[in-house]
Parts: sequence; C-alpha cells; structure tokens
Amino acid sequence: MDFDFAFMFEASLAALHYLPITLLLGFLPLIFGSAIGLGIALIRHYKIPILAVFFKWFVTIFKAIPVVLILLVSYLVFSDVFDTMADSLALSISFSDIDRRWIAIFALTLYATSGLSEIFRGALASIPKGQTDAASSVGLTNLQVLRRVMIPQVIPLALPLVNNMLISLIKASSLVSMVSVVDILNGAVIEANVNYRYLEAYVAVSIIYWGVCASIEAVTAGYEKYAHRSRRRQFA
Amino acid sequence: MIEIKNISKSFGKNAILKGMNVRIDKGEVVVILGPSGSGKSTFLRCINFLERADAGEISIGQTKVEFKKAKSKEILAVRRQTAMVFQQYDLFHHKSAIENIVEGLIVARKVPKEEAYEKGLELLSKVGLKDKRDAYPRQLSGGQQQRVGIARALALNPEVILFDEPTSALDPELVGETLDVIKKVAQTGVTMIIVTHEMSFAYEIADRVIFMEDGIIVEQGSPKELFEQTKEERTKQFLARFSR
Repeated sequence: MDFDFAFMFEASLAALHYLPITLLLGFLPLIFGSAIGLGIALIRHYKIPILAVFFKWFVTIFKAIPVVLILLVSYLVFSDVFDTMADSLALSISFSDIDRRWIAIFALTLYATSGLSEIFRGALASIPKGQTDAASSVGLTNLQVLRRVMIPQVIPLALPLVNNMLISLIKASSLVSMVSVVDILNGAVIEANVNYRYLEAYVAVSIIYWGVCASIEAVTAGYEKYAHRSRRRQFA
Repeated sequence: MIEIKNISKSFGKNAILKGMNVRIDKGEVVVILGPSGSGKSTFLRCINFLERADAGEISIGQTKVEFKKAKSKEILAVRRQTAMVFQQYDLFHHKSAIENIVEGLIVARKVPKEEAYEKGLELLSKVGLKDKRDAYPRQLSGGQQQRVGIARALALNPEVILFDEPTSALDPELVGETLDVIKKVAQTGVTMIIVTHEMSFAYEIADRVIFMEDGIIVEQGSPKELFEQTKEERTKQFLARFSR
C-alpha cells in the first residue's frame, strides 16, 4: 500500500485553512454552555421550585441523545420553522441565507449545556455546607455568598472536567459536515475528492485534532501547576 | 442585651426546641451544656438564622424580630450583630488567614480595605498567629484554624459571639491553646454563648451555665450552683459522667 506523504501534507494545509471554524465550534459552545450550564446547576442546587424539575428533565433528555441527532434535528426543525416565521413576519430572508454554522453552534451548545450543568452541579455539591454557613454568619448576602465563596471554589474543582468537555466538543465538531458546514475534516475530504486519497486526508486531520487537543491539555496542565504553586508560595 | 423568647424548632415531626426563653446581659458569658441531640447547636444556629425557627422572637441591639416572619433585611441585621465560631472551623478554603478575617469587614460592613487589614493583623497577633497571615487553611493545624475562626468572629465586633462546640473536632493536644484564646477573649468583656463539653473550662469561664435537654432548659445558674449544688436529678446524672 502506498502512502502519499506529499498529499497528506497538502491535505493538512487545506484542512488547517478551516481550523478557525473548528476552534469556533469548540469554544463558543463551551462559553455559552458554561454560562447556561452554571445557571442550571445553581437552579438545581438551590432547588428553585418548578425550574429545578424542568431543568432536571432537560438535562436528562439531552444527556441521552447523541450529538449527531441533536445536530440533525436542530437543522430540520430550524429549516422548517424559519421560513414559516420569516413568511409570517413578511421578512424577505429565507433559510438558505442563514449561515449554517450558527445551527451547528446551537446544537453543540445544547450538548455542552447538559454536560457542563452536571459538571458544575457536582462541583457545587462537593463544597461543604459549612462554607455557606460561615459566609452567611459574617453577614454576606446570598448573592455575595455565591459570588465570593461558592463560585471561586467551584471553578478550580470543575476545571479538569470543563477541559474534558472542550476536547469532546472539538471532536464532536467533526460531525458538522452533516449540516453542510466545512470544518477541518470536511476541508481535507474535499481536497481528497479529487484523487481519492482519503486515507492520507484522514491521517492528516487526525494529526491536527491531536495537535489541538494536546495544546489544550498543555495549557490547562500549565494553569493547574501555576495555581498550585502560587498557592504554595504564599505559605508564611 | 439579647433576649430570646419562646423559641421553637422542629425538623419534620422531630421537635428540637420546645419554647426556650433566654436572656443574656451585655458582657455575660453563658455556657450551654447538654447531651447530644438536646438542641444546643440548633439553638445557636437559630439565633443567627442559619436555621429558621418555627416560632419565637429575638431582640438584639436595636433589632427586634419574630423568627418566622423575619425578612432578609432583618435577618441580615441580626447576622451583622452576631458572629459564629464553628465546630469544623469552616474557614473559607480559598482564602488566606488574613483574607478570612477581613472578608466580613470589607464585603458586609464596607470597612475600607486598609483599615480592615490593619484590624485583621491586630487580631491575628491577639490569637498568636501573626506569622501565619498568608497561610491557607489547609496549611494550618486544627487549633490554628479555629483560632483564625475566632479572630474572624471578633473582627465583626458583634453584640454576641456564638461558639458551637469550638474544640470538639480538635486533637486533645490542641484543645488547650484554643480554650486559652477563648478565655482571653472572654476577659475583654465580649458577650458569648458557648456550647461545649469541656466541663472544667465551662466552670472556669462561665458567668452562667445552662443545662438543657430535649429542647428545654432543665436547670441554670452560676457554675458553682450548677456543678456543686445541683438541684435536678437529670443534671446530676449528666454531670456524673464527666466527674473523675
């Protein structure tokens, strides 16, 4: 079996051209998902009536659905609803004018939200009740307790798992070709469509995914080491 | 002066406090004794609304409020006149010793940063931990953590400090240093309610000792009256287990 290294290089250049899209599809859902997920986690942690039950089901449902299906269903529902709505509002835009990347980001955000809310809920639950009691006893309001005592302790606890989620998202973003968004995988495949050297294209993309994930790991590991050391340095 | 009237609290069907009345004068040190499950800790936790009592009222400083009806503003007002020292210390894990002490001052009381840190440092030396100002809780022994906890309570300059079994979680060797700090604080005229199982400490420090069981006060009086001229049979039984 011959392996065309030259083409592999070519394919990786073609793929790298779309790296920003892949990164966008990883980071944006992570940011949106963290914000919404933290909100859901807090609602469930403090057992806010009605909403807590609602989000419990929301998370249970979305946790169990494969990303591919979330992606395809969002695409179909969105394409269907969008034109009807645009029509009824007498807008002159149609579904085909909409950037499909937003649908991909929406679907990945749904996936990230359910996962991240569970991560934050676990971290919140692992903070001893005494921390809240102590903060209330020195006269902090509930919001101050949250902002100054709970959240700062939740973030370092959740960080390794959030990092994991980011890597899952980057990998899951390879599915967006199904809603005709071009990412690194799709970019390389398009290149290979010319000469049928798909193996080289796939290997090239694998290496890029590996490089991206390794860099993310390195950054988080570096941060954890820094956080650990800066805490130790303060030892009197 | 603090006055608590007719305080009651149940957890489900389990009545923990059954209408207690307690009045504490300014500067008085009150020790509460009692078997576990008698409601001592719940009583302290209800005073500063860490638990919500079902009935009764509290008046402290200028604030007078019914437990059940208190709104968050009134709860905050009561909390800002009380401070608590916890059995498990409960220092903020992510803050250094000095940051633990100034947190309430800066955030809740809006004391200027510099002034707060000055006071924090002064209190750290008072509890003998000036050199640990930047140490994090996990770098401190239990006794040191509890002393920071006491400094955190003192910083707020409250009407009353509530001690919830402050030495129960400590190694026997570290109990002494913590009790010494509490004694020192008591001498400065701070009003205190202390729940403890340290009998000799109670005898030494208390102006008044309250023995409670099943959510009511069984007997109270000066340490001499309660320990040496015990009236109630139940109190005698309880104290007998501690005498050597």
